[in-house]
This record gives sequence, structure tokens and C-alpha cells, in this order.
Amino acid sequence: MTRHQLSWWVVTVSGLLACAATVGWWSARPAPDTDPADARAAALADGRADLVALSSADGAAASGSLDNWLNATTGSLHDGLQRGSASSLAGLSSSGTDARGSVTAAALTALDPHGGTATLLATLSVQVSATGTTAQTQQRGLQAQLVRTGTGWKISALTTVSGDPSSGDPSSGDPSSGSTASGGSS
Amino acid sequence: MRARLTARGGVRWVAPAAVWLTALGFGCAGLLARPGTPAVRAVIDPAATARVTTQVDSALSRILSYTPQTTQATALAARTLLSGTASAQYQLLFAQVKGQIGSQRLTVATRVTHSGVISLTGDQAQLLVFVEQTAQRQGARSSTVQGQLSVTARLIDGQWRISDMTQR
Repeated sequence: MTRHQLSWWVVTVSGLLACAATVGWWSARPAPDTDPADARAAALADGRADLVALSSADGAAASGSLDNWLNATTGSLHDGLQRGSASSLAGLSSSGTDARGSVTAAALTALDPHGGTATLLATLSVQVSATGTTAQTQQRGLQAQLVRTGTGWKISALTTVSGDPSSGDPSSGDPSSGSTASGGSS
Repeated sequence: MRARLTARGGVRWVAPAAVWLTALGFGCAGLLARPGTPAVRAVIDPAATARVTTQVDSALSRILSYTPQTTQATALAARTLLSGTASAQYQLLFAQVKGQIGSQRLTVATRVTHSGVISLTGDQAQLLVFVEQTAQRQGARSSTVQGQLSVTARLIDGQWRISDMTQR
């Protein structure tokens, strides 16, 4: 074996080893949708939209409001809303409730990018009016459990952290709020 | 003869060159698939997030809790736990309640119920904090109110200090 042949073998074999190493490293890359920063941005944006949908209702378009709630939720909260949908519809239509929620501040307090779960803490300002009442603005603090679904992050459980716990929280089974606000997650 | 040798010599190096280029390609692809550490570390850096929430929570419950016996100590603690705007805000607030604390034997206990980090960069953090304040006047029933605060904190000498807070 000449000196040239030897160096050819050395360069080729070390190149193959380098290939094997970089291919292994590349294939062990994190999946794009589990990138923590991306997951945080998506969970926060979807969670905020879900909260707006859940704290909004429109007595004049009750079924649309209910669809928005169902689109924004998953798991037991979704099932509970679906079970109570008939009474929710009747209640909304008869009371003429009109509610418009907006998220004034929100932060994730927990995030599992791989498992697809997160906890969202938020303050909402909800403008509520019903037939025969004057509109009033309620400040509310909510904690939402988020789950990643095929169509974005959705709320699986909702608890009131501060504010009047009986109002405007569909999880209490008596949603007094709602509007045509675009809900759900994209 | 010599020219043929050189040409053949050049051709035989094509394979190792291709192998090395492939390795380089996968190396670059691997790098691109791993974005660098994001500048905003809220939630995704659990240790840093826990540090700022723990320090801000304990600072808030410390400076928003007072008894007639401990007003002096509370005011002193506020000087080390607050900075900037928050310090001035607190002096104003404290001047108002100080009189009541003494004359009505008022005791206030503040507890943080929930807190979340909205943003966290190197030395600046923004938090959303829910507090529960229980006030007790001597001879009267205690009353509890809930509040929501927006807090800005700065990392000064390794310690998170509240630089601004507003009630929501």
C-alpha cells in the first residue's frame, strides 16, 4: 500500500465515521412541535382565545355561543358543556345575556411541551348585560388547564381564582356570559 | 503517463470528499433543528422561573403584612425588597395605613394564592400575582379581600426586587 493509498483510506473511513455521527445527531433532533418556546407561544395564544370564547355569550345567537364554548374546550369540561347544552341554550336565550370577555393579563404557570399539557393563569374583564339589567364589567381571575389537541390547545378544566365564582364560568354549569367573539383555537 | 496518474488521483478523492460533505450537511441540519436558548425564559426555564416567583411571592407577603408591633420591621424590609417606582409607591401606601395600624390595632396578613411569570429575560421579569388579604381590627371580625397585581421585578445583586406594581 502506497502512502497515497493509505491516506485515501484514512480520509474515507474517518469521513464515514463523521457521517454516521452527524446523521445520528441530526436524527435525534427535537420534534418541531415540542420546541418549548414554540409550545409556550402556541399554548398562550390558543389559551387566551379559548378563555375569550368561554367568557363570552350572546343570547341572540345562543347556539353560536355554545359552539364557541365547545370548540374552546376538551375533555371533561367539553363533555360537561355538551351534556348541559340544552339548558344552557334555553337559559341564554331567555335571559338575553350578552357577555364579552377580554383577557387583560395571562401567564403560563406550567408547561409540558412533550406531553402537551399546560396551566394558564389569567385575568379577564367581562362586560355582562342581560335583558332588564344595566351592563356591568366584572374582573375575574381564572386558572385553566390546557391540553394540546389536533386543532390547537384547548381548556380541559377551569377554576376561578378570584372574583365572583358563580358568574360567567361555564364549568359551574350556569354560563351567564357569551358573545359572538371568535372563539376556539386555530 | 504522469498526467494520467494525476487525473486518476484526483478522481479517487471524489468519494471521500462526498462523504465529508455529507457529514457537514447533516451537521448543519442538526444545528438548524436545534434553535438556540430563547431570550425569554418564562416557564421553559423552570429553575429560573421558580426563583423569581418564590422571591417575588415572599417579598409581597412580607411587605403587605403588618401588625401594630411590626410596622417598623415591615418598613425596613420594604427598603431591601423594593426598588425604584415600587419603593416610592409603597412609601405613600404605607404612610396611609400606618396611622390605622396604630389607632385601630389593625393587623393585615397577605398571602399569595397564585402567581405566574408573564415574561422573564436576563434581569427583568413581569408577573401576574393573585393575593388574599385578611384584615383584622381589634374587637372586630376579620375580612378577606382578593386582589390581582401586575408586578415588575428586577434582578439586582442576585436578588429579585419589585420595581413596579399595579393593582388590576
